[in-house]
Amino acid sequence: MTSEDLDQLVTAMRANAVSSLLVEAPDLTLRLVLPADSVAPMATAPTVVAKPAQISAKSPGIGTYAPRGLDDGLEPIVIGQSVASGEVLGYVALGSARQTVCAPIAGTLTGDLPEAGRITGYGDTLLTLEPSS
Amino acid sequence: MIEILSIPPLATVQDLGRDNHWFQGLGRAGAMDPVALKLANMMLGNEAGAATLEIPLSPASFRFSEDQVFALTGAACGARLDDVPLPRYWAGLAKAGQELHIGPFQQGGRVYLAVYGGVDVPEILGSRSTQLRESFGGFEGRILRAGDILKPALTPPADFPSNGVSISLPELSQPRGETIELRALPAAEHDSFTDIALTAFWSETYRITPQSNRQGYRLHGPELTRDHVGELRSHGIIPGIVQVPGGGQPIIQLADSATMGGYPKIAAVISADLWRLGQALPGDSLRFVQTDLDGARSAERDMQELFSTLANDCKAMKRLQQGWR
Repeated sequence: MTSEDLDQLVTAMRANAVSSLLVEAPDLTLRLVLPADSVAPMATAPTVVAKPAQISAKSPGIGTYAPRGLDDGLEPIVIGQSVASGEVLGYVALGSARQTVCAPIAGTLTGDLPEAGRITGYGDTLLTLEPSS
Repeated sequence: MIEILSIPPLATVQDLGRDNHWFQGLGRAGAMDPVALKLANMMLGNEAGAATLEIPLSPASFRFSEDQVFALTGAACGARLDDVPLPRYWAGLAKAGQELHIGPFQQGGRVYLAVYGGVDVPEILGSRSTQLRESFGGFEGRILRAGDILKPALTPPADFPSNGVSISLPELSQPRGETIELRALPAAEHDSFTDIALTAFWSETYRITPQSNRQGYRLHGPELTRDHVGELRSHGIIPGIVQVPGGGQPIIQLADSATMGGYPKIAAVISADLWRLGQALPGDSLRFVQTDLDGARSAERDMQELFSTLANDCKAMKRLQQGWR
């Protein structure tokens, strides 16, 4: 370890409000202790609560919304449920023909479930998802 | 192309069967549930009788080697495309490399997997159905097995709805555990059975036994005896005919029915109800409900009207889609 390395460590300790540091290596043990008054208080970053991105599952057509889980062999969906990308979330029905409303991404369902029978147009937002981290 | 990764026994390629060769001693074959087959083809825009896979047991797995559209109908089967669960009665896109997995059947006994244009197998004697007894038709005249590669007859259309389509149906089949009602006509030897037998036949329930396959279902229930005994000459039989062999327990002839039989015929299930048997399983109960020719014709018209409504709704939906493309 050189004096430049040591300077860098001390600078980093001061910048990060670290008063004690122990470095152990096969051929080296180094303990650095700085006086408390030589360590700058750590700047506190302003707390920013990022609002999670909301992604919409939109209507693929014109018709009435029909929930999944009634006659399709699938379990009904619930808010808070994790779904896979492409998973069928419901239907937009025109008579007996139905287009499927699919999850555009993998994520968690948020907001409200649409009411069964709601008249919907092409591109209307039917459900929202928070992307999986 | 679709590669079969795993498939249970007795899965075959079927269409609506070959009807015009009875006089040559060749049965019809064809789908056990022609309603599900036609619905799968309707959702894809295929001809109503295009060849599909008929899968009578689970589980089964397939891999798509290229982008493809396909449809699943019949029993609810917990199908998944990779990890995404699919609804019952669904048609949509599969990307190259994706795998389709069919799980345990929850309601019904057969799943139909259709591809765009139908499964590309040779048409023989007017049909692409597998004639299992005679070992021709379908895929090399045999049941399907792992490693088989199935080819769709047509390239998938670019404008197929990317999210997929589905259909809502009136409650066609009874929920599991409820008695299936089959409308039937009295057949040639109906009146030769005793009054007790006839009363039992038209009012009691019969259970489908494990001795059941595409050729016919053996039933178990009240024993049916005849007033007259003795050998009968063999007569022509067709799917739906209910025969009663010596033991007194009826057999319903189905898609792979023989063309001739010598057992007395007590009834004939109307063709509009035969698909219900295609979705029935051993252990299910059924009851025969007597009807007449007018009733049979009316049932056939009801089925045609249902398909007409479904087809019109599918066309209307397609027209609307084209409006904003």
